[in-house]
Amino acid sequence: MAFFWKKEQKIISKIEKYLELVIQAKSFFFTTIEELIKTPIEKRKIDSVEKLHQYESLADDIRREIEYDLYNKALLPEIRGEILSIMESMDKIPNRFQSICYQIFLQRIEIPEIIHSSLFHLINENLETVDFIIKATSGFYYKKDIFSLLQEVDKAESLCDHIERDLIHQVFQLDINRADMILLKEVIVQIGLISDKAETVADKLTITIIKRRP
Amino acid sequence: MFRLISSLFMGWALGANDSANVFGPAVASHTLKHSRAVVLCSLFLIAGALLEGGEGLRTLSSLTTQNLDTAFAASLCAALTVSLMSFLKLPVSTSQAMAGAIIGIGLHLNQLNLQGLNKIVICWIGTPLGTIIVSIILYKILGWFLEKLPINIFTQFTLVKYAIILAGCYGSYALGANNVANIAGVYAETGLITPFQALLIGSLSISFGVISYSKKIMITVGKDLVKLDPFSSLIALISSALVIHFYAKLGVPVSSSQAIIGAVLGMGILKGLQTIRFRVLLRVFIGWLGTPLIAGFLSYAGISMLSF
Repeated sequence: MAFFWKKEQKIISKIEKYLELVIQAKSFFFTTIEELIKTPIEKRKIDSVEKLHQYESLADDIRREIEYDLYNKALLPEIRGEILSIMESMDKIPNRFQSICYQIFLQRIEIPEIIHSSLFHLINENLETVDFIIKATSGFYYKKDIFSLLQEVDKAESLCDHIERDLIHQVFQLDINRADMILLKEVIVQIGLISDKAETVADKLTITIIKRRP
Repeated sequence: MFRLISSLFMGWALGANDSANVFGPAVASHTLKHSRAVVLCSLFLIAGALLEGGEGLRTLSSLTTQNLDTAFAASLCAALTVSLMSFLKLPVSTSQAMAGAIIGIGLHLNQLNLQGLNKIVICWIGTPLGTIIVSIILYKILGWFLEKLPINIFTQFTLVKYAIILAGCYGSYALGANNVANIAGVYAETGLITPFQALLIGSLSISFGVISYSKKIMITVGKDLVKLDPFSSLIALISSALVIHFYAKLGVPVSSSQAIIGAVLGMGILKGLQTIRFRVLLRVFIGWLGTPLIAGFLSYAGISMLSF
């Protein structure tokens, strides 16, 4: 039986590999941003930020391979556009991990200790949307009922928006100069974009399911 | 023998037009190359015609008694009606054209078998209605079954694609079995050719139409069906094939175009009436009503002039 579906199995294996890589990038992102937040500017090292870039680059390579297989091997013409659109939206999540860490490192942004706990709360909530969307995407390929997961993404994204607004409000009450406030606000907004990207993937999954459901 | 030319033309037109209703989605979605589709379509069409096409011959023969002149007139008028309706871009049924032409002659000769006519008209109404009902039931059952299959989404799509090819083969078989009587059936009745020769000539001329002129129509019709989504296209194909095959068993030639339109309408009912294009439906209805009436009028007028 598996002989007949060899090409399809190959694609699904690559998608699983890709999702696994996003999970690894997510874990590594947390470690890296935690290190950047807690380490004084002078002692920060670029190594872990560079490693995060490797994850992002590897994810890009796998996505391109999938794209190549879907188009050059003329696989699934009816749904390949939708599959690739979902993957391209998903690909923006590891991109965001990388850009946030580069932003903090290259712009030498100091994170005041007073907002650490709120900032970690924002990061954790945003990363939770990534967990939900990876589970939902994987479930989608195996035809599982993923609507509850997609609803979780929506709820978590709303919560992230709320935390983001509170945190920006908190930042602009700090006793630091205006330029630092704006830099901090930018970091907060960029972190908040993680859940926005997860929500975009969720929206695309919802439409695809509704369109394709027998 | 030259009189058979009108039948050959009918067969060719039927093959060129109606093969799109069975293999259109497979070709338009690039699941199957057109060259392979025509081979499969022709083979299954000939098999259906030779194995199960005889019943249709008996029904058409029962409508009225034919001689060589009336057979030629019926065949020619049906072919002209098919050409006219195609020119007007109205959905056309060769079955209705042929039956309409035979009825016109029967009316003129005052020897129409009303019992046979009733059977045909009931089946014409039953074709779109049947495919609407069958497609809704099949969609629900097969949709549930497909969702429960423990396979991933890619395998599911591939499975549906292969099923579309198989449904195309079955549809071709049913089309051959159902429609072959329309082609040279009238001449079998006159004794010019044997019933087997009628089936052979009919199926070969339909296949010639499939091979020589079906590509463009297959892609056009197929793309309309593929718009539904692959699974709905599959259901439309299976439903219309089942209904056409059922009528082949009853011996009543029906329209594959109307069968597939009924199935698509069934999908529309399931997905919400707002998805149905009522202007298109009106054209279908005009074609459905107009084809037998025009063919009947032409043959009645033609045979009246010949008699005069």
